[in-house]
Amino acid sequence: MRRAAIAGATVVLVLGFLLVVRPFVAEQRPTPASIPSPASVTGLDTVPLQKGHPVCFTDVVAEAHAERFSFRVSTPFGPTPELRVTIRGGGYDYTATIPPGLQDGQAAEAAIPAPLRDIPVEVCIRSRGEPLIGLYAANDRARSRSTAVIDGEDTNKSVWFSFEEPRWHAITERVGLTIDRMTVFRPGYVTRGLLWVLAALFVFGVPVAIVWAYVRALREDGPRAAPPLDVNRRRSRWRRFVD
Amino acid sequence: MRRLRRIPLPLLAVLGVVLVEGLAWAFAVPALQGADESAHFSYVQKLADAHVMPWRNPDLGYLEPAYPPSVSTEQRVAWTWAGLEPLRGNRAARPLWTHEDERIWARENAKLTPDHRTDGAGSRVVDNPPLYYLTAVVPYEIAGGTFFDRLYALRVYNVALLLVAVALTWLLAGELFGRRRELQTLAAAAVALHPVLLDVATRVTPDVLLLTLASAALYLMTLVVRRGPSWRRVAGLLAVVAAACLTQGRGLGLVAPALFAVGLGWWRARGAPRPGVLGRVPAVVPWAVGALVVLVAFAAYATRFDFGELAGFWSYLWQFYLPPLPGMTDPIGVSWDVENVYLNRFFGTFVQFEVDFPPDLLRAIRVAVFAGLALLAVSAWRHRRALWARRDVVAVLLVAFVLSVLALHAAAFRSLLVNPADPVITGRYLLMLIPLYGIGVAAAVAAFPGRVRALASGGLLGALVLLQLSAFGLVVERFYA
Repeated sequence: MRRAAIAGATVVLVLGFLLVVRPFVAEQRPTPASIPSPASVTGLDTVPLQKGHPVCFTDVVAEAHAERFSFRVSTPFGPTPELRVTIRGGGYDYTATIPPGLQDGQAAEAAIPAPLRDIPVEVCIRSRGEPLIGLYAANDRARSRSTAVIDGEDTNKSVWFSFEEPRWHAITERVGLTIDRMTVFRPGYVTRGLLWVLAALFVFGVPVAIVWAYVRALREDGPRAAPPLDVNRRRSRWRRFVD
Repeated sequence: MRRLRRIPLPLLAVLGVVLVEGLAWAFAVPALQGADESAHFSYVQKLADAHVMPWRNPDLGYLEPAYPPSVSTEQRVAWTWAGLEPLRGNRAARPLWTHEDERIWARENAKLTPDHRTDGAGSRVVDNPPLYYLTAVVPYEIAGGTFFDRLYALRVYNVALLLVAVALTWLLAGELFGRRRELQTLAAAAVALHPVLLDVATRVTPDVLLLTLASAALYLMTLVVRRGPSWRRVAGLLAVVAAACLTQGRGLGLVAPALFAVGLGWWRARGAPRPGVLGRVPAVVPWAVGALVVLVAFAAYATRFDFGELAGFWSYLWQFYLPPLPGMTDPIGVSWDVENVYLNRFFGTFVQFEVDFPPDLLRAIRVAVFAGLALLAVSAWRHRRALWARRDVVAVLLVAFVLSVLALHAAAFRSLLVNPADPVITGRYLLMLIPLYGIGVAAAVAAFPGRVRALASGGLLGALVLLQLSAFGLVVERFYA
């Protein structure tokens, strides 16, 4: 009985790990480095961007893995002019140029050198041409702390803005980093060590403990549950397996 | 230590599993991402910091939990400066996950005064009875510290409540299965590995105290009918049901089953009626009268005492589970049926419903549920003698299930009469009956004989572990990948 239980669990767990868990955790996915201001939840809104009136926002953290940034443009009057994006703060200062020609709804993206560490920065987006364009922004509950300021005036909208890693990653490549990130905005006792222990116990300890509990229960039931066998009665192979 | 040794080892192992899973879920999910979690936290904060019971705001009425003035300034600062509100239910967002983000929040948080913890206006959640929130004040006060210290202390408190609920499932299974460790372990493990239970129970919510008290009520009901209605058992049962009602309105669904259990226990303990007028009344009559009273009470509640709506209620109830009969009109409200509640929401939606199992997996769960129901029928037939010997416990658990679900439907229909856009009833609400799910799983597996059962049980436990890991993996992916 006990061996049958262990066999049943092992077969399902091994097949499950091979066919479900492994493909899931090994799949390559786009990896954000940080998303200071996410997209809206309930509707679309924009912040106007004109030549000579840059759109700036502060309290943005450029994460150490950030090697690209991205935001989305609205261009009702034709393709975008050249855009310049300055990221400055904590000893980091870089200006990226986005060539003209983006269409309505397209993402404006550019590569940046990765910061040496996570640093709070100010981002300023400038237009180098005449046509008025818009930057998609959140004006609902997705509005972040980094609201856009134009000519010193707060628009009370946050431009959809994210930092990304240059290549895609699997979940397994990012376990250590993910655990680090889980310690942020947590009580002091939620340390990396505690989370590593919990992760190991969850993935390896839980399956073992559950199967052990069942096998132990079978053992505790054993003497009581065993049906009396009639040795004079001929039993089929199936019956012998079942009993 | 000696007492710990008296706890059966299989139960200890299952409780260890719950502890690991519970803490993992509690710490992995960022703050305030559970359903109405910010509103529930606000309620506790009002009790603990302002030392007042929150009531409906006389000037503002009932506020939506997402409306900023409903919560304290301290919480609003966390919403904005820790990025919690943009994250809620927003798949495009990720948590602010650097220690620099923490420093920016701490800078703003340091500007607050003690008054900023007490200025929340409250939301419609203040309509909830206060018991959970009053008990949660204890871990809130012990934790002290920052907003996050206190919030995660409440989540850990809920993990402790979940441990009690799983232990009660074990005890309940023991009453039904005659202390067969194998089936007790299966029942407790099925509950311990239920993915939506872990997701819901590890947020700040009164639902976890409700399901713990409901588990205790179910266990006490079986004791009352199995061992007789001693005043201690009856008082204990009534106290637990009262506590459930003081925790969440859905606890009212336990009142009728508890009365049924007390009545049945009393009737069985009393033996054959003495000669006289009452002795000549067939036994079925008082039960039929009781059932009629309960049904009329449900109907009156569901229809808001407008019995003209009764046909609509029965039509809604019928079409929730079955195809419409000829002549039936469309039920009130949005299209929302048994599959949404008992399958999709009970097994497969997480956090703010933005994470769910893929359709293929839900289809597989659906097949497993139907197979389980068929096995349950086979098992009932196979163990009919044992079931007959425990018919009182079976009857009580069946009545508890039916009446509790009927109460949920009555409350849902009552609400639909006012707001047809919100179906109200959801899989989360069934969690108060989670011990019955565990018992159902164990009973279904008992359909198999000997080694086949062991093989099937091992396979089932492996599958439940995978389901749990899948749910956790999807939630981690949603926030951190």
